[in-house]
Amino acid sequence: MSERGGNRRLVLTLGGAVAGMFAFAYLLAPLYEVFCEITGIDSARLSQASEPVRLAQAAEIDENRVVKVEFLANTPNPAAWDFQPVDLSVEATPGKAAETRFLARNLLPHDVISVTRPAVRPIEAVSHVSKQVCFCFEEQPFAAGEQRELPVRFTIDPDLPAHVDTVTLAYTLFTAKSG
Amino acid sequence: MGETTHALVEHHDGPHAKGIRRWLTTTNHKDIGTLYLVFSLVMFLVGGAMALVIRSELFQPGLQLVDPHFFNQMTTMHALVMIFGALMPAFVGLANWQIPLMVGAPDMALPRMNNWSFWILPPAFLLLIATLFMPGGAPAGGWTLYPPLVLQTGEAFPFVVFSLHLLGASSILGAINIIVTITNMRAPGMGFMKMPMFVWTWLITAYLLIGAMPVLAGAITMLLTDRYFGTSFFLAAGGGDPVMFQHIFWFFGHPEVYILILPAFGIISQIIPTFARKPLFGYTSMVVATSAIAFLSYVVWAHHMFTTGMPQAGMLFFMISTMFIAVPTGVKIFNWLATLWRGSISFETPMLFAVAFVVLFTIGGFSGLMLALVPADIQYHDTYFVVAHFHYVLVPGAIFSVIAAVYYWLPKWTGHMYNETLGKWHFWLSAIFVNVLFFPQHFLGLASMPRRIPDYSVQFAEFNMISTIGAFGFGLSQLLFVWMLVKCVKGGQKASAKVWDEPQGLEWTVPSPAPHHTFDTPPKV
Repeated sequence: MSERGGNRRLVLTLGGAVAGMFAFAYLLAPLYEVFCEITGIDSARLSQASEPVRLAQAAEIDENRVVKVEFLANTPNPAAWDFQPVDLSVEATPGKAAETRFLARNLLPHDVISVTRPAVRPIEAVSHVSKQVCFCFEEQPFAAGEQRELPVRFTIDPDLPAHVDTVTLAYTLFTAKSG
Repeated sequence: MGETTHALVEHHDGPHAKGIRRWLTTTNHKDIGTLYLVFSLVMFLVGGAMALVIRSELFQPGLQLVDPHFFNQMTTMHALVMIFGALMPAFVGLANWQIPLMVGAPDMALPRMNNWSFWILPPAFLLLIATLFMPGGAPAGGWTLYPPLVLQTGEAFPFVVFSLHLLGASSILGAINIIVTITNMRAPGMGFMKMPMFVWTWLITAYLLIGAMPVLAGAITMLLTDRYFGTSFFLAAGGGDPVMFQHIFWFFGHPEVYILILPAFGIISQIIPTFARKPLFGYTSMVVATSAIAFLSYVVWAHHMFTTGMPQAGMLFFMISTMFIAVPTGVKIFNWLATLWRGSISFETPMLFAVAFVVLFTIGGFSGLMLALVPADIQYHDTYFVVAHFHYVLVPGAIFSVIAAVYYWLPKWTGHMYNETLGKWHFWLSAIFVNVLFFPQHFLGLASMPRRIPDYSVQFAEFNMISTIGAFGFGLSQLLFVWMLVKCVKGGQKASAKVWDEPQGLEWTVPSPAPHHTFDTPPKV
């Protein structure tokens, strides 16, 4: 009888471990965000307006340093959207705000709301880019067939590691609601 | 009271139901082991047929036989069927047959649950195979089920998810049963450090299953709610991140890789000492190495994802931890070689497969080491080099170990010797063709032929043709194996209790064939 009791205890423990690991899989979702935040590779902050990570003092701006900033526009639904960067790249001085525009056109014959997700590469540049103006901060409504220019104003932090000479800002445009 | 006694007597006299009901209701570890092994063999042939569809299409460049969507379904289903249908049930079947015999227990600890964990499998695979006939077809985005691609699966999607849930549940129940059996039912005197290596490796594998399978269940449940219930775990549009799926999936997926190979290590550690007529060299270091591999398997997952974008520190960590695995694995390989050293070696069929395992698995291990290097991996990612690597560890690795185990213990199960001449034929055909099949894929991968694509540039034509010839040779050789199994079950030369020349272990102290009930009174160790 004692062996049966031992079996029951062990089965319950192992069953508990199974339930715990299932819960852990779900826990990984918030942990993933926390991890990205701690390590500074959190792209969620690229979706919010923020001041430059560290306001550069005028004296600190190295006018001679130029970082090439490239722009990428993607959409998983090219039949519904025409989405392009106006400039393929701009040259930005770290510490100074730079600007560009994207062009989006709703190809569908009805109203649509879009949502855009940003990304920055290389990954060590993520925490050194701040955006003051971006269409990716909120959903953008488009009338049927409407075409619009969407501005972006951003600042590259002077603390950007010296070996990074090119930064890519990528945007993926999704249909949030189709009317 | 009278009925109980009657049932008990009947239970001890033999199977109390005949025909199909015997197999449906059986709680006997040997019956259930047989069911698992037969099921695994059927799935091996089904998955093999799918592989032959893939290789036929790749025989020549261009699109000849199947349309690309069906080709993609074949690559996905081949993997799912082979991993969850052929290999895992084969190892669980071997565990069912052998663990009670090897630790001197009368049966598994939880026989009723044992019956359930097997009988969940056939319906789960009916669900999975049925997806081939559903609108939109079977899943075609690869067995790794990456979103957003996998979310474009047709009506089959929820069936795939439920099927994987059932397969996971079956493995978890099996793992719990194995842990409880090994922990609580060893014969008196058999301490943990006296257990045979096969039992040790399965104990560790069972813990890996308990740690990994629920994570897969969680990941695919998130996929399901993303598609049907408006969650956005992995949907970028809703603020989720598809890369997170890859992290969660491989947190399951890498331990899964070791779930598929640790029992193989155990099998080889049983067979080599028997035919070298020497005890296993470095038993304690084998146990420690197996545990170390199991531990490391949980901290290397992102080496599958070097191309998804990762901070440099992350790449370094996952590269180095991955390369660390070569250390305990090397310990094992050298222990096997040291066991062979100055042994009185004879090469019966199980030994041939075991020796081939050591050589060919090591080739797969070396290509794995190459893939662990970040700069090399970025070059090789998603090419045939990866296909060659994991097929080397899974086919002449894991599958050869299962075949070796079947030859090794078959006389104990059936009471008959298999046909040694045909066994050697089976070995040489398999060993030659498996290399014809997979070795050229290294070259294709280094020349950057992408995997999972039904067409290719003409410069890859010769190696693909060779590979396909190898595939048919290997596949057809396995029919010889099936025929020999049937012959051996039906009859043949009577096997003695020991079967081999002085093998070690409790399973050789019971008669051949092993009676329906063994070790009703615990043996002394």
